Amino acid sequence: MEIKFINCSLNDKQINLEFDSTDITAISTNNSCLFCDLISLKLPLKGEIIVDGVKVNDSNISEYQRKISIVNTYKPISFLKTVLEYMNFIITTENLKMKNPNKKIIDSLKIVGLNEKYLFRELNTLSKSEKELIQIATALLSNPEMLVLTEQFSSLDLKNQKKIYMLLLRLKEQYHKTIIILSTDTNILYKYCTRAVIIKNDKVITGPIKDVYSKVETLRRSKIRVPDIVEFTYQARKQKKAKIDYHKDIRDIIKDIYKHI
Amino acid sequence: MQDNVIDVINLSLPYAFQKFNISFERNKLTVLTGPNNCGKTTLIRSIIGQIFTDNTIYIFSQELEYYRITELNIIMKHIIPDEYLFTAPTIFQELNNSLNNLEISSSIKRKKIKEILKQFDLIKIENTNPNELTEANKIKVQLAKCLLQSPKILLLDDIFITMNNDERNNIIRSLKDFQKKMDLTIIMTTSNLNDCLLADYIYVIEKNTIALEGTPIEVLQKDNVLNRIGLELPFIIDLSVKLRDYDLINDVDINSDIDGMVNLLWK
Repeated sequence: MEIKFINCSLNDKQINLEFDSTDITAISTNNSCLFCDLISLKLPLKGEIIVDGVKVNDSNISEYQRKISIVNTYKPISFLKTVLEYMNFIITTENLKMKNPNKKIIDSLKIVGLNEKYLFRELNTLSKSEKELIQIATALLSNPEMLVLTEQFSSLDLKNQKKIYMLLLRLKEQYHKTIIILSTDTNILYKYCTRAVIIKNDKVITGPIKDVYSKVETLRRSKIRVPDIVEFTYQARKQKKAKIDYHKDIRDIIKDIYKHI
Repeated sequence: MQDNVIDVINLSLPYAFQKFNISFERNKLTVLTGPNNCGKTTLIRSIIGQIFTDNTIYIFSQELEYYRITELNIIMKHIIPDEYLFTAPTIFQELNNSLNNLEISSSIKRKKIKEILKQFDLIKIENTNPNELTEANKIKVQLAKCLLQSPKILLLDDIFITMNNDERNNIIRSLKDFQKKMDLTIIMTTSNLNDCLLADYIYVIEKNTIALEGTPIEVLQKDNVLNRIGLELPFIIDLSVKLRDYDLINDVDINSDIDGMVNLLWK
């Protein structure tokens, strides 16, 4: 899904944004709540929003809202006990229409690496990472065209991170879904994303992630933490005029250091 | 055993531990770490008595069941995110209420509260409602509330997940201060090895057994084991361990930062 925001207002400032399914987009912003509202089309319509070449207006906005799914952090709901009840509850409240809900629930659990046994697990016995995986599974129930992850990666360990990353890649490559990751942990963003968007008040910076994050001074001015690996390369280049490039993997950096020492 | 604050002996729980032993020393900052689903939170829950453990946990060499709940509440405080309540309308009153049962004069109370608010960077927002805060600030308020009552043991379950790096470092440093000043034993779980650097002792748990233990420098050098378990080393440690393997540097220094590393490599 290709989505364009033209002259949309965010905090009374006009901004232009564009997302499509060729990249996994990293977003760092100082007001993530507001941004989530904007991207899920919940803000009152101002400016132009174009989805797949069609202009969004009051009559078709609900159709597009349904295609966008935001993965929020898990909040307990007191009267729900098992995972199955929780997912059925989401299906009824979000008004999702599907032929065989049970099969769909099992499928989406399997896709994030959980199995049928989890259907009857009690919600309060789940660990934090399992809750995040369940949240991703619930977001996939509606078969969204655009998936927005918010801080899910930071509570997962390396194995689960890789699993979810492979899942996101597959969704992007095979089903042409638009994937957006919203986080304050720039180390994770730098590792997994290919395109970066930085929204700071009215200023928007977009570009390939290596280009955007290698402008260390701009990042510092926007009060965004520079990823460790970029900080190291930047210091080496600035202080010692060392000839090492900006890399994502630590092994590439070591190869460069080995060559030039 | 005398120096230990908490001993867990032969703990067996369905779905979790089988004959699990662990002990925590007095006046130390101990970190429990491990991949997802390794039983970190379960261990914390069993120590605070939320899970029935059948005489396998000893606190100050006394069985957990020996203590009354009110007694336990005084010596031991815990923070599990999302599992606490704020009742007062402002942060200041919230902290003030928590000191009500201690018999100290209001001027000393005031001074104490101001001091702790300053330490946790909350002084600007002391008049806001604690329920309206961000997740990170809520945890800070709860932490301040716990520390004001000067407990002997403080258990923290992954409180750093919602915080950014500066906040994390700030809080870990002030926790270290409190630990030295107040004869406090801190046990915290984390899934991020960045938080372990200032710890006195680290336990790495994998599949409900202890996979690694030792001081931070001992544990962090075993990058193979940690990577197999699924934990990510802090960038600068990862870099120095790998550079040492290539004979580019001699020693891994746990306190080194990026500047120091650059200066060391390009002399």
